[in-house]
Amino acid sequence: MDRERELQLVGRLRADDPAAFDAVYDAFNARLHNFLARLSGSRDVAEDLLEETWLRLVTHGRRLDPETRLAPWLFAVARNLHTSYRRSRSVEDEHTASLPSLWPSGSPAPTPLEAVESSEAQRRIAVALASLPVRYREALLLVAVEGLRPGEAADVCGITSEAMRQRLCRARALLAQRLADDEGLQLLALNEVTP
Amino acid sequence: MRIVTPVADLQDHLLRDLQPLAPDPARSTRVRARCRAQLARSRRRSGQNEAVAGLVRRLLAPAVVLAGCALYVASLVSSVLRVRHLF
Repeated sequence: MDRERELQLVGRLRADDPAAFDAVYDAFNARLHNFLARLSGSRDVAEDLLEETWLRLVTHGRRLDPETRLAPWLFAVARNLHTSYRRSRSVEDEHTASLPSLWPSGSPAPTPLEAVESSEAQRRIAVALASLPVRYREALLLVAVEGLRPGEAADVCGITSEAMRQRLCRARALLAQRLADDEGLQLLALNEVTP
Repeated sequence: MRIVTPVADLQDHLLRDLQPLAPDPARSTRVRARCRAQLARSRRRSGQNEAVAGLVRRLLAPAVVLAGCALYVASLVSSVLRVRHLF
């Protein structure tokens, strides 16, 4: 979405234009769901948080700054809702270490998440990603998956650009390590070239 | 500035190629409808507020100014009458 169109949509959202909402919804709904599902490790939680994200946009649409960048704004709302959810459920990073069990290999009844992982390599990287602490996972999801610039991702996470760069660096190193730890993984070689 | 390494590039490539986890279409439809309904309510409320504000601007504000003027004139007349010992 180019900047001119984005500014136009923001202006129309400030006037409660349903067509503008539809355009933003179509552009971001799948991306936000993917982000929340990968972040939370649960489709149900992702659906709930996604609904709340859209309701926030509708509620706060009139108060949007005319210069608002929609992607960072929406991902920041989604990320903050996920943070609140984790706090309310007292979900700690240690618990996320057990997330790979959501994708059990060879399970007689595959989970929905497992079913959509179309290849073994994808499944492995998804499991490795899910095993990362949330702060690293969200950094990788925002920059590598959603294509936000590190500066935008820093705004989403409420940290400085420098802190985001460091976080990304650590996240990549940790991801490479987790992938290397996975037995029989072709990507084991990645660990050898990690700086 | 982004730190680029072959590992980072390969990882980003693998992450980008992850199968997107698509939302439930039925629920998406419901959420969109709910948001649109809320937008419509917000527009209606905003329209009503504007109508009230317009009424205040067109009727109430002149009435208040007029009442102020009337009070001032009455007070002026009363003072004049008092000074001239007519009242």
